Amino acid sequence: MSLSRQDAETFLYEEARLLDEGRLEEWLELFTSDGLYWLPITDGADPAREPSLIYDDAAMRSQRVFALLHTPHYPQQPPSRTVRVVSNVLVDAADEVTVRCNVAIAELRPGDPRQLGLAALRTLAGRCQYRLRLVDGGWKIALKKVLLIDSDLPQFNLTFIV
Amino acid sequence: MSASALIQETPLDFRVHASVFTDQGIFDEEMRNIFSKTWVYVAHESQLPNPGDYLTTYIGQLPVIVSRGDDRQLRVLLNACRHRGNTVCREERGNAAIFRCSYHGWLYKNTGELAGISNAQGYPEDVASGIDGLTPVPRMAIYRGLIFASMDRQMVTLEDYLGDVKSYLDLWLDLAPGGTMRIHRPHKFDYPANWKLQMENGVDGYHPTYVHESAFTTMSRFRGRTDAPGTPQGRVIGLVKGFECGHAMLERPGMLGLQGALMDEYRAALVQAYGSRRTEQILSGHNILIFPSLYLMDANIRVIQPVTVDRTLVDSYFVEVSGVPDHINTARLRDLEFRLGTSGLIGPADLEIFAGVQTAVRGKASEWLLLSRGLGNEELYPSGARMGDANAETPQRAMYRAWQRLMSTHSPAAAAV
Repeated sequence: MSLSRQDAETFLYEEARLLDEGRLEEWLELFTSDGLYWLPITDGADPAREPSLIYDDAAMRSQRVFALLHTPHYPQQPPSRTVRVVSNVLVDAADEVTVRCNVAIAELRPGDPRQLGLAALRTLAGRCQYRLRLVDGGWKIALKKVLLIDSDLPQFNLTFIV
Repeated sequence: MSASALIQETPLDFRVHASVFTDQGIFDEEMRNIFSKTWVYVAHESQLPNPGDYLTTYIGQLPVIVSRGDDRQLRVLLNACRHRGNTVCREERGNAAIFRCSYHGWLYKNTGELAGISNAQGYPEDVASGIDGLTPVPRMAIYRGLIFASMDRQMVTLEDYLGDVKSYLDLWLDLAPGGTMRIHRPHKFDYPANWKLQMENGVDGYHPTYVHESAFTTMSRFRGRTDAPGTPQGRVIGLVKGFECGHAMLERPGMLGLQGALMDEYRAALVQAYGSRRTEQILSGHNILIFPSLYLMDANIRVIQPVTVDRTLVDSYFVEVSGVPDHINTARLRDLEFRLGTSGLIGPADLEIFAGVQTAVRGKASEWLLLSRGLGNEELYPSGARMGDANAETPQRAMYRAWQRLMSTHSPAAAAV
């Protein structure tokens, strides 16, 4: 079964909406059981040797989401508000389907602007590669890889799901 | 207020004046009197294996190039053209035979030697021939792969500077059963607060139960880890030490990343290399501060780089160890990313606290900060080192005693008092 660009866009927009609305447990369900959520530091580096910003398998994704939703994780208290724009979507059909897109994320931790670290609106931008796989008649994420344009620059708080 | 008055100590009370986090004048003196009067970590040898390899970093605010010359010698050179002071090398790292200043094209060999002045006929010959190459940092020393530099010509040897912390440093270095370590590209942090907040934090055994409750709750729920650092039922596990020269150490079992079968496999490799007694010492879990700016923690080297009084960069390196199968290193890497990385469950939580402290101290909400915990209950050693329980603020007191000594010795303001 092939995936049209329109279908791919709908899939990505729905993922973006889950993340922007903080519906992280539903976001977990988008992945295949062997799916990977990966933010490299250096494109092309071997993730088994070189550090990534995030290299989460299913177990780590569940832990990350649990920590974000159900524990006092101070870097997300208050949680980031995000609005993401997904664009430049292209579909490459292969055994699995590769979908490439760009993402721009406006991010803001609301609160008292006199407190350091709060109330600063910033924009993140990244190039994304998804590998989607058909599981029981529906598309699932086997890989979500986001290369942020500032992946190798210092970060203060990159603790929300990108 | 003079530097010596910023720290107040009586037998049961130890206080640090909040202005040490907020006063730009104090920060400027720290650059002169701390970062230019100690041994400061600049690089790991594994980053510079070949002739021509270089990286750029800072000693305090001083930009330097660490370069392995064509003669294979390592050097630490000021990253400033001898002509009009431009930053000669703007890359983070690479390999080069020649550094070419972008301003007027002056050339330097990777040994620092001046290789050429563009249109040199503009200078009288004896003037041109008297111009030096890139200024070498006066002292450089390497301890088992860790490269340190000092701007102080009179500095004691690196081994003397390390003193009693050296035995813990050796335990940490022995985390590599094959005897060598290799570091990779760092996770980088940038936080809006004073550099000393990170300096204090890595050996603070009191805060994890609170700041990192989120991580420990998550890990015990999903990984069955019940050994997370903390004080279960008020029981304090582990110990801290503060050393002369401001170095410090937190020892607490359970701080290492590997668990279960992976830890058994790693332990076996260590036992083969060092025997079982030393292996247990190695694996007892140490966070080590080499004053003022280097942390060594399990699979992690952390380098604190002060930028301004209220901005700090931290480069956090994964340490790959030799003598273990690849999958052991990969597991250590995954754990480091997940807990202590830029997006980790532990690392960013500390930064959030640092920002919170800076918000309050810049508003002068606290005049004196208390570091007296465990002061009346320390064991003293002849060297001047002290030991407390894992929740004691013994390490932080050692740092600020060293800080006070350096700031008072060299400070013109203090001398005038």
